[in-house]
Amino acid sequence: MGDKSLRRLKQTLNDWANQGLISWEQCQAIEAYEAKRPQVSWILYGFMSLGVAVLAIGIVSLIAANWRDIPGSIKLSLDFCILIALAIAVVYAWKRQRPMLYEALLSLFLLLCLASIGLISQVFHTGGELYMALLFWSAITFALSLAAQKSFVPFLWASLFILGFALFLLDGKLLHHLFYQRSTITYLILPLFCLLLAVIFQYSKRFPMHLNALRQLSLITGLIGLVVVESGLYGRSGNYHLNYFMFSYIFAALGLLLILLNPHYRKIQKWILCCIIAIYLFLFHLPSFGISSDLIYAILSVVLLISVALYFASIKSRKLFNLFILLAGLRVLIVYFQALGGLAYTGVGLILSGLLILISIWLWQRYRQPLQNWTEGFTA
Amino acid sequence: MTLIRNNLIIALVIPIIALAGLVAHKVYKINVGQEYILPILGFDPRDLLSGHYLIYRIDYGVSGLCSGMKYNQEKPAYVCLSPRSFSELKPQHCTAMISGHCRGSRFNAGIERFFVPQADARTLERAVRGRKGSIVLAVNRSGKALIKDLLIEDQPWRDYLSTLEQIESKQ
Repeated sequence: MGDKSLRRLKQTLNDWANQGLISWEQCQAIEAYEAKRPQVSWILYGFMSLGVAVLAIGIVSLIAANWRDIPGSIKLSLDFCILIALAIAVVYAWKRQRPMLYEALLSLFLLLCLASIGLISQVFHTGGELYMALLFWSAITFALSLAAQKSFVPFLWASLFILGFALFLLDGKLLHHLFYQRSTITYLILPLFCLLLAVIFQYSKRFPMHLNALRQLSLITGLIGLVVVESGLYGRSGNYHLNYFMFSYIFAALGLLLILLNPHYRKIQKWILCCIIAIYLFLFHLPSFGISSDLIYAILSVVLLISVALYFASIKSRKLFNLFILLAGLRVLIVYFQALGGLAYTGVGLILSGLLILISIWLWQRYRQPLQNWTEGFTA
Repeated sequence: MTLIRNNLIIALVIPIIALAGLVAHKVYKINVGQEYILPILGFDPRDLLSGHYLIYRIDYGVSGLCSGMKYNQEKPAYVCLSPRSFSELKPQHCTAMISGHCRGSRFNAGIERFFVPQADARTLERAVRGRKGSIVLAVNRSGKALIKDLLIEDQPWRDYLSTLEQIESKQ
């Protein structure tokens, strides 16, 4: 804990001790415990993650250069020696309680495992696809990703697993016939798959960092999907066969079932999540109903973004609530540009938009607290 | 504390054993398989993880390989090496076969790429395009094939490059 945080904690503890909530002995014991804990700066941690990622890319690049003079057996032996040395170093860092070093070595070990799969593929000239390497890597490193103490490793694991899954949908022999013509349907499946995995992890309650990583990925892939469907990349017309949606229906149904059965969620949260999933599915079904109006897409997007914001309000995540309200506001603004034509109309539109935003800010400042209290309170 | 340490060690050992197992499996398949040499034709793209490779078509010396409209969608297929023939069903009287699948007019058996050093990719690509290349395969009884080596003008590609360098240095 940094000096500033420690000072803040001391103030809070003194305040609690003065109010008689905790004893002075407890206050001193907590202060001593926090002062002794190893300090990890989040800035340093961020740079460490960057350094590890760059180092790992360098190793992959060295492997990819495939030097002629070094036989495959020597390359593989060297690779396994480095893997074993890194594994010993990970245990050493854990034993010595060096959290930064431990996380850095753990990340490097995981990425080196992926590079090793590449090296094996190179030495034996296997004709496998990238998704095979990613899914195999995800399977053999899952247990290790659970040993992480910081969020980088779980996020790295979850991201590469989801990427492997996406490539499997697109390139895998099993589902090739379903996805080769409608590859953009993957953008519908991915957030639902992430959400389903997140709900499963929530049941276990033992892997909070994986749960967070999957939640973040469902948001990221969901937003990408929204951009794809809104920008027209997905297509606004054409015949979408029911088979294309099969996996999205399965993931959505399983996700909803687990959400509805999970006592962790409040009733209103269950309703909001149902709405979010239903709207997201409906957006991707619009071409099947022959709907191509920009306004309908925009209205659905705004409702979806506000629903997500309301969900975050209900879990008291103010930053994400504000972010999604802002995104909804931006989408409303874009409606003007889509709906109006000509300089005069655009000028009027922009003035109206500006006024609308200013009024919204004023209303927000005035009614923010009651609104937040309402969204947080009506769930209690 | 000891339990956590043991769990960490187990989690670290799992990927090492899995990767070692993968290597052992490939080595076993290469050593057990029957050796075949087949001519190839190809060009040079690259792989994100493993670097440059030559991608080629193997000349199985079989007529009617994956021909017809029915192969627009991927289907399993077999090439019998002795006697040479092609069929959609597993051949009955065949002493050595390669199993794969037809997609379009191409027969793929997972042996259509050979990783090469970045510096030598162009030279080898030219040689393969000039119909000087052939591939050494290890084929097992179930029809799975693995690449053992690439031959250029009937010599291993490393020897071919060394000979080429010697000729160039003399000139």
